[in-house]
Amino acid sequence: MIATTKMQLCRLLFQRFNLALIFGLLGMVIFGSFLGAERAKELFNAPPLWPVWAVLALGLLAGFFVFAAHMRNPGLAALHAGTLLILLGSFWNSHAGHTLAARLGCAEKIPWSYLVLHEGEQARVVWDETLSRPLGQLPFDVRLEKFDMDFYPQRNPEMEPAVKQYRSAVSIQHGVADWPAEITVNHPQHILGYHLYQMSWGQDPRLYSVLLVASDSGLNLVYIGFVVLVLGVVLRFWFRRKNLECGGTPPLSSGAIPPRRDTGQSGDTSPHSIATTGGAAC
Amino acid sequence: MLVHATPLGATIYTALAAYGAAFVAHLARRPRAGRALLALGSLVALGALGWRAVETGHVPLQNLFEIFLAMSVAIFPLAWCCRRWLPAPAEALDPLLGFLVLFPVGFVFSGEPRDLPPALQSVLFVPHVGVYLAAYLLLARAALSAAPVLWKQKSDKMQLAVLSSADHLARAGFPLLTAGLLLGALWGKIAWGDYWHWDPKEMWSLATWLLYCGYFHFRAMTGARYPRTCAALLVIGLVAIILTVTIVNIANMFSGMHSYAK
Repeated sequence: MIATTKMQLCRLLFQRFNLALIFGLLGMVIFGSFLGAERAKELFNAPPLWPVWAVLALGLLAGFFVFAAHMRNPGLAALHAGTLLILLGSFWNSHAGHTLAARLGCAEKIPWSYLVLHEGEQARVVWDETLSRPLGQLPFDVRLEKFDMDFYPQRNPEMEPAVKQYRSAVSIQHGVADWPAEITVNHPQHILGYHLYQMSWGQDPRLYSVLLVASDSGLNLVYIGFVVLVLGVVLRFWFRRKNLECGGTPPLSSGAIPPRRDTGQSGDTSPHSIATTGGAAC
Repeated sequence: MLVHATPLGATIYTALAAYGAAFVAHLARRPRAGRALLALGSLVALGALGWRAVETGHVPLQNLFEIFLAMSVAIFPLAWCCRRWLPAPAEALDPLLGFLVLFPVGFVFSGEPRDLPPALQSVLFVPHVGVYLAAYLLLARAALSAAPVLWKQKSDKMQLAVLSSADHLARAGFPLLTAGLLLGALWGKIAWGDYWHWDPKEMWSLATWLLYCGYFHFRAMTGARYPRTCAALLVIGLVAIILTVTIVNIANMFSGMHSYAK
């Protein structure tokens, strides 16, 4: 009896903690939106915030043990597991994750860098966002064969025609292999653990193309997390079983129809416990 | 205040008038007339959307003018689905929502046609925007349904019935909100190199999602003990949606990668 009460107290405290965590994160995200993308990225990746992400991940994991019975619901389990996978994949994809992977003996990869290429030029050295500091070398060479732009027909004679597409025709050289590829906006190339994106261009006076080079570490985990999370919310919110709520409250009433007193599972027929919740995730 | 003195503008004002008339018909307890006018408004708005598609040469979901116009088209099918599968009483709220959504299209947003920038030319463009539009409409309807709980003194039973109906709508919208967020992240990875850029629009989308997460956790935790808090959370959710869709796109304070959607 005492053990049951302790468990109930533990669940109650855990639920309140989770709620506080969600609203705390909400406050942080709103604050971050006023900082602009760069400063927000710095803030949310800063070491002092790592414990917050760790607590969030541990909280999601702990939910499987604290609410073991509820987590047998496939939708509920999937949506929490999906969120956890996204968090883990994001960590693996971050600078800190890359540093950790290198320390653990995995191949050293550059998480985020830029490749500047003039037409006819070949390179494997990548640069930081200012394009002035080299960050390292790619495991392959990229040669820019041609860079060009497509334009829309001019709508307004007073304005320049809008750009329809930027296109870099490149060839990738890795060892003896050499293959052509085209990189346009929305059509990146995936090569040996890196994604290459059409990012920018310039003229000095020769035309050059700037390609973004992003590591793919942790990306599969994030994508699996996306799928699992969507499946989870769909199962939970669109095909929800009529089971108990997390807080032990009985099943949902049927919408606009006043709740039926005989549907309560706990035997408590007070309006507070019968009528209920729309329910959802713990 | 803008007035679109064009054939497209005339179509929009006709749809707006139909939604207004549908709302009045529901208030006058003429539900059949109300539904017919709602269907008419939606059909006329669909005509305006088709016109816009021909005019711009792309799927018209690029800027606020087109997005709100598309939302106004979706009102009728959504209202029909809600009536078919969900307990969504207070039908007068459907044309009211249509009117509120279409009003800024007619009088606030610029209708100047623009070409699609390269980043928007993706197979994810329509799914990402489409699921978000449906999610926003369902969640807005949930907030409008729940709002009376905040100020009307109703019996416990009535409050619970109203809140349960709003909750059904919120549960219908939340998976779409999640899918919209994740499709956006996937598209961000394909177009810009990362699935999360900490851009103000992304941050507000996440804030909206977290707010509904908080609502569902609160509901699961407290059941129906705090109907006003639940209603308040749904209304705050709508405020967050309005901020995410409009203010964040327009305000220079939040300029970022999504600013082309003004």
